[in-house]
Amino acid sequence: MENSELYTVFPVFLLVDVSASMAGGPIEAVNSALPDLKKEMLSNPSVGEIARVCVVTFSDVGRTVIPLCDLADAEIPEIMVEGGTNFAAGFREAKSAIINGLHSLPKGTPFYRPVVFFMSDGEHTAREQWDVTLDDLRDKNWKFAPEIVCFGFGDAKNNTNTLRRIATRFAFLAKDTDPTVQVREIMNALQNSIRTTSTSFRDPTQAEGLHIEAQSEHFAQLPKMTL
Amino acid sequence: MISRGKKRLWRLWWQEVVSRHSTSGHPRDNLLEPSAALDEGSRETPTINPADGLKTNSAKIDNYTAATSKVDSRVPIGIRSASLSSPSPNKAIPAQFREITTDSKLLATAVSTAGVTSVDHVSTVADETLTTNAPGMDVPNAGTLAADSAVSEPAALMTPKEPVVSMIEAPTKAPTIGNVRGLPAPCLAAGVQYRAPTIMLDGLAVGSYHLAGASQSGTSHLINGSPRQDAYDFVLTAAGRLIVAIADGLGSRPTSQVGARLFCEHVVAAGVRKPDGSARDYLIAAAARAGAVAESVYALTYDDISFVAAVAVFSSEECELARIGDVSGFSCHANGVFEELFPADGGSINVVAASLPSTTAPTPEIRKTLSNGPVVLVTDGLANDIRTSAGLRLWLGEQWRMPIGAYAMAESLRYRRQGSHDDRTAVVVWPKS
Repeated sequence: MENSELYTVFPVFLLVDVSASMAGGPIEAVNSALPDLKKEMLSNPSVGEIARVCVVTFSDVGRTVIPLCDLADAEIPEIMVEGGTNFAAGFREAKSAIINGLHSLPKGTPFYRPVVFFMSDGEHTAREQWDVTLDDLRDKNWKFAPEIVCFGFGDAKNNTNTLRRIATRFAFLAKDTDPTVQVREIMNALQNSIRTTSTSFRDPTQAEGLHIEAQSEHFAQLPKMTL
Repeated sequence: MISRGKKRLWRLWWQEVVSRHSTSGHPRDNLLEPSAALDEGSRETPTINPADGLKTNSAKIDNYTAATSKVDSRVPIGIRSASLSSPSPNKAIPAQFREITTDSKLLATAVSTAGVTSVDHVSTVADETLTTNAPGMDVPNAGTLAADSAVSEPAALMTPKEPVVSMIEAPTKAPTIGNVRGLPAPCLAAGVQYRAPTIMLDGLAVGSYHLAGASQSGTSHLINGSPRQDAYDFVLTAAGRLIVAIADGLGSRPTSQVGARLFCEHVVAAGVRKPDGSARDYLIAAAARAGAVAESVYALTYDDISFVAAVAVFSSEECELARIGDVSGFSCHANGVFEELFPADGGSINVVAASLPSTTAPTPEIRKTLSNGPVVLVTDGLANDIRTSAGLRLWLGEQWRMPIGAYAMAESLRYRRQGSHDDRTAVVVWPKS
């Protein structure tokens, strides 16, 4: 048994598409949702004492805009729209953020399996192959291998097989026609999912562990892809 | 303005308080010692056990959160001193005074002694001394109290103000470990069925054993308004065997408390029916019976009532344990040394490898230990805390070093720990010497 104090951590990674098509309402919806998530961390101790959140963006390159932290302590930066869409850059940065984040915790810290919430409105446009970096992120032999939950919106509806390929178990397509409303609903679902999973006291990798609160009136769940 | 007569009454009350706490032999005897005060600084580096002078090693505290402790959770649930939100650290109310003012029984007694008949008036004094700044609660007077006079002159606190306390809770000496946040007041959500009481307690002699048990709702359930889903029960056979059952309903099922409760009841029934059975026999029989009763009486499926559970059978020679899932057992030694009787899985936390009732024949893990020292059965919320907190082991080791009663058992589980919000259930069995 540990001779120190180790606190359970539920590491959550938001992997947000900030390509040019996110300009306007969608990126504003992301920027207005993050302070709400912070408020949840402050007001609900059964979430805020457990969940640690990291925000990674991707466009032509991936950026860790908020490293894994107690969001209650974090200054929330304004997320800016950038250029193209490179999924590979996002997956690579997400893996780096997971490694850095979990290695920064005290040795022996009990943790729930990390969860990456991937949200995108488009299609990979870079020359680089993204599936290789995805497989690297999902490597089952990696002890920090995350659950990846996908939320597609906007033009992602033309690209559902990609979302299914990226997700480990859960992929959703937002139903609303307005991308701003879609992003708002995704952020809402994401916040509720973090809350429910944090308070379920079960590992997210288990059948009972990860709770995704994506209401069917707002989201269509995509069938799991079988390889 | 406060009349001279009222000042005199308060002085009498205060003398009564001092004399009670200095002569009772109660664990709160040191209530008035200035060293026990929980000031702003002690919240930055949370105190594990003020009575023992133990502190967490600040270097071990989650480095993301160590610098942000703003809340004193040692004040009972939903009640917090105005001083905590005071802009000046010099205005902090010493913790011992806050504890006194939250003890409603003591206040009522003190006022009765002083000849004041209105208990309502006393609660107003408590109300203005304490404010509740939990989220979602109205806090008209938070941070407004000038508290320098709190200890030496309680009469100065009598300025009538609007009552703001929604609930008075008994004080506790249980430690706060880590960076914890304020707790909203506990509540019950609409439409909750099959509610178990927030807490159940035992502390009594059972044949040649002494048993203390407690099962209390986790703060997560109390915040969400959902019921406790842990359960325990026990029975003494005519031949002197003690059979203990403990169960933890899966949090993802809103009715799993039915399964946990039924399981424990049917372990007891099985023990009465077949007093010489093994822990494995009782576990399998009771799980099957719980499933059948849930279906036939409650119209609930196996899935609706899923739980994990353990049974321990104490006899003169040994203690035999059987479990399915992540409930666990520990033997408790001196100086806070706990030895887990089942091997830890070593993977991610809270992995439920199996649950009950099962349509297939379950294969319980079996362990045996000599029954010559205290054995503790716990559900996973408490088991995880014991595994990962040296401070908690010290606290529990001290609390459970000898047989205790029901209220002392409740006190032992009243610690606050960062990230610990699951139900807590423990059954401690001491052999009589």
